[in-house]
Amino acid sequence: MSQFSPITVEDVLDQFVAEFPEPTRDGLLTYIARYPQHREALVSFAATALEQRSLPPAEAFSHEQATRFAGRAASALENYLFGRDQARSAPAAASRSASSLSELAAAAGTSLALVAERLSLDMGLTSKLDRRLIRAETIPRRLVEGLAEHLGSTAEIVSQVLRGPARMSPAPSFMIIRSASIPVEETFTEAVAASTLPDAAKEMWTNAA
Amino acid sequence: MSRTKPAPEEAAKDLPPVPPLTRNGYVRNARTIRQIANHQGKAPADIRAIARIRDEADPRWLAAETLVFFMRRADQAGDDRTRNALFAELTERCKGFFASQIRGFTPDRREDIAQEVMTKLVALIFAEDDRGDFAQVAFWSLLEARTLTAVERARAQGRRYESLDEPVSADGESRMSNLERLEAPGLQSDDLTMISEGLAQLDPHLRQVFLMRHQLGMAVGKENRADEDPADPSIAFHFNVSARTVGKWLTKAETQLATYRKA
Repeated sequence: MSQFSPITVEDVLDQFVAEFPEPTRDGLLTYIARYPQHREALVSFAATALEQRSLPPAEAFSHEQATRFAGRAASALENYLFGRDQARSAPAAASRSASSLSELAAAAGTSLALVAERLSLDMGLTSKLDRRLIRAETIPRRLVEGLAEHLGSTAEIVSQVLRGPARMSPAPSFMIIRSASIPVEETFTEAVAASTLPDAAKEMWTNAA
Repeated sequence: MSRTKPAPEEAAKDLPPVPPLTRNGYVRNARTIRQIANHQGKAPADIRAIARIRDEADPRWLAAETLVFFMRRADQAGDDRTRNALFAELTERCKGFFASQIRGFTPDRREDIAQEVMTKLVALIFAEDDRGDFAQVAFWSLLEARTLTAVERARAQGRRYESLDEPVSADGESRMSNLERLEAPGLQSDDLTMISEGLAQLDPHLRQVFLMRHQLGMAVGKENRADEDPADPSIAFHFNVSARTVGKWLTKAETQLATYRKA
């Protein structure tokens, strides 16, 4: 595994199941030590796995349920392919016209908080990215790709959004400075250092930069 | 469906090279590499026919990881017929998994959870980037991980802590103290079998807390949060509640399970 690869929580859980098919204390502590930034997700996940194992197996699907399941899975494929074709022929208008990460998140039906969690970012850092307070050329490509993946967009669109002029926090209409621009001085590495991220996540993002 | 890991083998020799995976340094196992290498020169109609073989003892049988490879390849080549046929086969193989692995929900809710996982699986398998690479490494582990995540989300939607935080009786308080004194709370499989019926009746949150304590061996919690060790989190630390609250949850679980222990 590349040491520069910002591994997602899904990646970690996939590997956890593959390495420890039966969740154990040792397995859990091993993974917490390896991925301290995903501690909460790992504990919840292991608890859910044990909870599922403690329950009696459910009954097999009835013929009707099995048929419905296959039909719904086929529909899921059709829907996905339709959406992908649409995106290929004309990138989603909402995504294209978005001018900030929060607008991209809204267009994708998600939230920046959720995206931040998935990418091991804290909200302070995410807010700086959203407001373009970090010098765009210092933002690692892996982060841009990760944002694109979780925002249902493309790396090109995310790059474009991150390169715009800095945005102030929303201010009341009676404040004259609401549209003033501010200089962007902070690099991504500096923003990571100033964040509240756990040390392991800081190291991961610093290495990726 | 084969959920066991194939034994390490030497990679296939004298066979055409298989395109490597790119995500997180993932590597397919030798069985998958051999199956891909053996079949990647075959006509789509042959791949479709072989994919329908369900007998794992048949040397032509294809593992789920291999099906994913050929599905992606067909998709990239614009071969809709092969892509859809292989996906239908994979769906068929997943039925048994979903039927047995999503437990403690009504049949309708179980179908919804299975559908949610399949929708995400489709997005992974056919992603244009490498985010679905793990499906070619350990498909059933990936499916289990995504299913448990969906189950966790479904549980969280219906979670209710408030009713669990009511005061406990004096008897309960003393039992709570006993729980906190337990140093090695491991449950033997016999114990689990004895109380499995009771566990099934417990509130899902209480059931989780009970298993965190007794199967994962997590501590109840420290009086002072500053004394907590994030590398070995306690239950109280995880839920961001006091050790006393966790003690109440455990007491409620113990009280409800007591009947089954005696039975």
